[in-house]
Amino acid sequence: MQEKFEEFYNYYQKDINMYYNELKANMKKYIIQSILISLLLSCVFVISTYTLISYNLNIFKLDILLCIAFTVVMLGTAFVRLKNDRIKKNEKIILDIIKYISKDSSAVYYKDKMINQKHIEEMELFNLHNLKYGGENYISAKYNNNNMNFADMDIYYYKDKIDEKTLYDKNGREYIQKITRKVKKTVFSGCYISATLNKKISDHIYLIPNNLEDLFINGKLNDYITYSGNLIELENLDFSKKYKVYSENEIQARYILTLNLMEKINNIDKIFDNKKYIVFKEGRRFAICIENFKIEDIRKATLPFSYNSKNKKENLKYIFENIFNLFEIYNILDLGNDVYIK
Amino acid sequence: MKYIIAIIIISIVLIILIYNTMLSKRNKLKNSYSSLDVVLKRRYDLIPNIVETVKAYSKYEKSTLENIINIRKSADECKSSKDLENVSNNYNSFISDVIAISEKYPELKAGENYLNLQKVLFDVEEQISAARRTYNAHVQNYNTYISFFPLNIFASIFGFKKYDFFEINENEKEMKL
Repeated sequence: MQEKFEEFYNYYQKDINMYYNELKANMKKYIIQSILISLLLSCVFVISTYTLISYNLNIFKLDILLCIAFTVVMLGTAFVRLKNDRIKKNEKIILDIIKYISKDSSAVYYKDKMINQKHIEEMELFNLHNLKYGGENYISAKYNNNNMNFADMDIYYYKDKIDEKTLYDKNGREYIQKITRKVKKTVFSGCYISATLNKKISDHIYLIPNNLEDLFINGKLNDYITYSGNLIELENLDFSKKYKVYSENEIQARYILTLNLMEKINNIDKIFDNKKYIVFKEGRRFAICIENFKIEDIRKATLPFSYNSKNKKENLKYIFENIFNLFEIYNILDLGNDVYIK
Repeated sequence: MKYIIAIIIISIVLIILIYNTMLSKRNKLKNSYSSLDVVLKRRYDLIPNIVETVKAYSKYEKSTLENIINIRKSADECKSSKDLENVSNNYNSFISDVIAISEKYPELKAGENYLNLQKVLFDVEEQISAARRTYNAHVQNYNTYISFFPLNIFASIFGFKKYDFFEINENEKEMKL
């Protein structure tokens, strides 16, 4: 990875310089704008106060004080604008990295778009009849001819919570008031990755985190996670410690989950050590949901203000590494090995 | 007296449960054997295609050709996993011949027919491997169950016998076109 990053860093030097030149220009622009607007506002305020109220005031002192106050406020606004600018520019950096890694110039990244709900429903992992679905940061790229999609995904529901409050009436008698409020409960929050599998199947195969039952009250799990089929015990012990495999067709589950693939899925932990749900769907569809990993965190990890900051390379490396790891799933699972020749 | 009747009823229910569990495990095992048999036959059905692809490069003697065709026939007559293993070994020696021929003729190896055949065969081998793993998992499950004391006593009374695993020899793992 380090080698790839260094390669990218050298390739991207020009863009980084441009990034900082634009940032510098914007900073200057915002500061000048802030000072001018503050000066103008303070003058208008002082003159109007003097004209309207006609107090015996020291106009010069008041003007300076007001100008300072307005400048502080305006600089605060400028700082926020600059921060938003950096996040916007970070979106461009992310897209550039995606294009660089995937070598797909038509790759897309939309901050406000999410994976189509129909697609999520078709994967039949989360029960969207009972749950709500939200998402953002949609990425789509063709990596070695495999259409890969990534997006942040939140699956949640609202639960009524009753708070009891002890109150006293006019006569000093105690009574309990019940207030019902909605509380958001998250079932899944993380990243959704879908790609094309190199084998064709005719049944569903679900890989559910092994300790999932512990997180839900008994009987509720199926309200949220819609896996089905028989529990299949596979040969790889490390794999079986992490996942429970469900499928209607045991042979097909073993056809997909070869000893080799189970080892590869174990290897995903080296880059994403979070809880994962994996679904193999009819045809060649395949999806991994990685909990607590979000593209939004990458989007917000902006480059530092100063060009000379030591963190500049580190921050860029953080962004590159995370996007690289998303695409690395393709290589780990050997999805390009369509011909099955080792 | 009541206790004796109760013990007898409980024993009968237990024996029925044990018998049904054994039967259900054996049926699952037999089903997985049938699936294994089906995919193995699919593998042998490809033999004519393989012969067709390589025949231009190597003229088979009549006796060799008969032997190859017999692999398919003997696969139909298999009754146990041991029989399947024997047929599988014959098939492997045939595939070794094909590999040897393809090594001699690079144009055969690069040909479209050969490459397509390679894909199909690899897929069939993956299916066989999956079916074999499933069968062996059921064999292990069943054999372990009927080995436990006192279940082993009931197993011998009801005639439930241990089944053999379907083994794959080490050479076969590398035996891919």
